[in-house]
Amino acid sequence: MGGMEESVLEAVRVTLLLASITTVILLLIGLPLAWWLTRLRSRIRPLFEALIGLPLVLPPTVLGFYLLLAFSPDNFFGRLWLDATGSGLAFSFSGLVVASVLYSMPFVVQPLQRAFEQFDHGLLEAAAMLGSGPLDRFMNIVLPSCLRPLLLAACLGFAHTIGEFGVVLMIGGNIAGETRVLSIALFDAVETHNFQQAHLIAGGLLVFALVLLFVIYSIDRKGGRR
Amino acid sequence: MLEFDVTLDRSGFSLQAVQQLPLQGIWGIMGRSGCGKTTLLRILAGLEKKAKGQVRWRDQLWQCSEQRIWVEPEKRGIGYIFQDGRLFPHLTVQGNLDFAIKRRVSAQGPDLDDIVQWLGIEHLLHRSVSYLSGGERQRVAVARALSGNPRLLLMDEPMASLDWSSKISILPVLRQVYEHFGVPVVVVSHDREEVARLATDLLLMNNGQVVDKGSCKSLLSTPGHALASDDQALAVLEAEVKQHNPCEGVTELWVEGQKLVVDSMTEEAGSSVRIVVPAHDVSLMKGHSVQTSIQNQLDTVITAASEVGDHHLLLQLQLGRQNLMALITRRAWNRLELALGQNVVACFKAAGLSAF
Repeated sequence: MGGMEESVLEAVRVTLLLASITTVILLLIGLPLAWWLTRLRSRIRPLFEALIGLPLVLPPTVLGFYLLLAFSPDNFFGRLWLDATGSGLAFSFSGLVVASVLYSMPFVVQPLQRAFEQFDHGLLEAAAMLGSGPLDRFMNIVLPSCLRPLLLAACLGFAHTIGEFGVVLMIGGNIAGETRVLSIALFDAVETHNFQQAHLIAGGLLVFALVLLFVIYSIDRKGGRR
Repeated sequence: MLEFDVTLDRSGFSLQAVQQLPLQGIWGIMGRSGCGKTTLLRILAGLEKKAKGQVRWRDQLWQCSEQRIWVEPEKRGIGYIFQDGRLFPHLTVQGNLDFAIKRRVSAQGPDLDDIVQWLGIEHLLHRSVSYLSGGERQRVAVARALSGNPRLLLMDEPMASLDWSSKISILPVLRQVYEHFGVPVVVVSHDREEVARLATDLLLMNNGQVVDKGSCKSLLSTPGHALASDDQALAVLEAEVKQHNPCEGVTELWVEGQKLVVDSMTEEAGSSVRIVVPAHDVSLMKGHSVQTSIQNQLDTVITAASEVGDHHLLLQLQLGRQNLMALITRRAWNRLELALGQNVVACFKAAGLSAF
């Protein structure tokens, strides 16, 4: 019994760590990316949007398959990573982070892009005329005006990372303390007829998802009313 | 001196302007909507990246497409008042002013307390900008622009979105910016009366080109000039404050040796003011009358008459060295048997006539 709870706790730790790191990275990438897309007045903009949006429609196993190929030391990306860090990406926590960033990207970039499109760009001209440079304008005018969508994007990215399964299965495997996240642990428990553990994990995830979605929709609703 | 030689081509519109503006006082840029006056202002500010040509402020080259020089708008040291204020909604009024103060190029410049007091917005400082009236928003916008300690202040239709009473209250403020803070101003407007009240000099634009340039007073009252030949014509009079009469709520002015009564004003006796008299507010009598409510009766001479439409005449009335204009019907002209060179009394009401 004690061992079982410990393995669940282990999975919780891995899952939360993965979701947190992924969310932070996604915000760092997503903010400039969404801003750039908003300002991009080019015909290739839909191409970038399609690339980012791919995980929305693609079976996670497809993404996992290509990532597995890319992670292989035979290929450029995998070799580069191996040379730089000394360890491979496949079946590692780092590999999971890379995959999660790609997999959850539309959930962070799209709400940010929507918010940036609604943002009154005339305010940026007003700020420029007061001596404010581009980075200053982004940090002190754009971000404070888009705090709510920012929080929404972070929550969505976090929640979606927790909910992923197919990609993890393909590239992460099932290494306790390293790549065994909750969704995998649940699969594992059911496979081994450990229904008590399965109930614990499934119920926990259900309640967590419900609470998080409640928070997300509350944020969204308030944003709409403003 | 502000010099520019710029062109900008957009689909269906092209702007070309070459000018040198000695920057003392207030320049007005006037023209119909779509004539390119706002675009010209935006080019000067550096907000139109596609503009070609050259803009030079004193000895600094702000942009020159030949030498590939481009000074970003934030480095030009210009204050810009947008039509809609464009206050930052996530900040309070104080926050908006602080934003400008923090980004000043040098620590010098007008004191924030001074600006706030001069604009009369002390009581608004802690308010959210979402809860300001149109007039209050523009006051804060002016305060914010001045807080940035600009070398030049550009205003794009600063009063277009305001109701009449807000306009009347903010006009003197805009007019005195130059005198009080020493910042030269370029103001864009389509409203002739607004420009007449604000500007000392004027650029007239049409179809992407500057079509005329001169002192505001002369352009508005030169007989035969486009601005002085339609039913919107108006005259600008320079006058001197003679005395205040607070009991009756009026101020007496001297203009060319004759007395003029206007709504009570705050300027000290002896100071010079200008008043704007629209031609359609002026009526004519052949002699003075006391049996009328109209206070202002000035002796003038008819020097020119031109037709406006089918039934109206626009008369040029000489008043010493200055001019008034009157828009009358052809019927009135015939009935009073008026003629060029004739002495007439020009009448207009004191109520509603304010001096600036």
